[in-house]
Amino acid sequence: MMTPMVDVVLVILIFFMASTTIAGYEWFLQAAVEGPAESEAVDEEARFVLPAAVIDVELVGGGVGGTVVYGIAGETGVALERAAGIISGMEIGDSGSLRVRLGAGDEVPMGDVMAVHDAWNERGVKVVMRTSR
Amino acid sequence: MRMRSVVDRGERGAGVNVTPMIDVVMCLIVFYLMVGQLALDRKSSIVVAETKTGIEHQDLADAVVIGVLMDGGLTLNGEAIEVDRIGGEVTGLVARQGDLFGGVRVRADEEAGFGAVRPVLRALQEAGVGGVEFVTLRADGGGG
Repeated sequence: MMTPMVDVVLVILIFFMASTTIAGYEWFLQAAVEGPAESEAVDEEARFVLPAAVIDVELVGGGVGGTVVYGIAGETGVALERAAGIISGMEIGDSGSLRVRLGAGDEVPMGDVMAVHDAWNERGVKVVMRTSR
Repeated sequence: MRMRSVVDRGERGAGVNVTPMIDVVMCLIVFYLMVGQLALDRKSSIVVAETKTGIEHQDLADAVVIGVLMDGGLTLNGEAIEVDRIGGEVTGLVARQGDLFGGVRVRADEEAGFGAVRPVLRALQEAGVGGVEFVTLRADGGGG
């Protein structure tokens, strides 16, 4: 008598299909949070270690005109759509010794911030989220 | 007069057939699980951004999840919270969980302005949290 077993298996199958669809496939972009100001006491050993090079990247706008990214093409702002291409084409040498300090205006959507974060992540560069304006 | 019973006490030794009941109960459980999940999703209504890169975790069950809604509202582990309480709550969780503290995840709606996220990051920084994980959707769909 196979009917009950088929019944139960079908229910379990539907449950897992539904839960997978609802949960989606999420993952995580890691970012450091900008630490306290430089007034902290300096560690004696750390004194002789070169600090990581830092690129300041700022996202501005976010309104009708779209988001503009500063800090990746000299003084010029770049439209968000072009930013990922520019970042992926940059010559950055040792990405491990580089940090990007990422900040954005209040109105910039998080989707745009994540897009730039993603582009740097693809290059293996660590991102530090700026907490000051 | 002999009454009919659902339990057959005859010589054949057959009991109550519980299979249909289990079937129905399982269907009900699945139904309520799905409806509950959908209601939760509707309530939080956070649509996170898609990214091409990211890391997957299986072992951070004790992570604190901070939600940033489209309108700038905040949630901490699903409960609404004011930004000035986040630092204290996270500090308390770090102290309580110790080594088990699974870090902080930020589920920010892709339409939410960075102005809603910045105070959260500042509060976390003041609570001694050095890093966060932003929850995103796999752009490739994932799953294999």
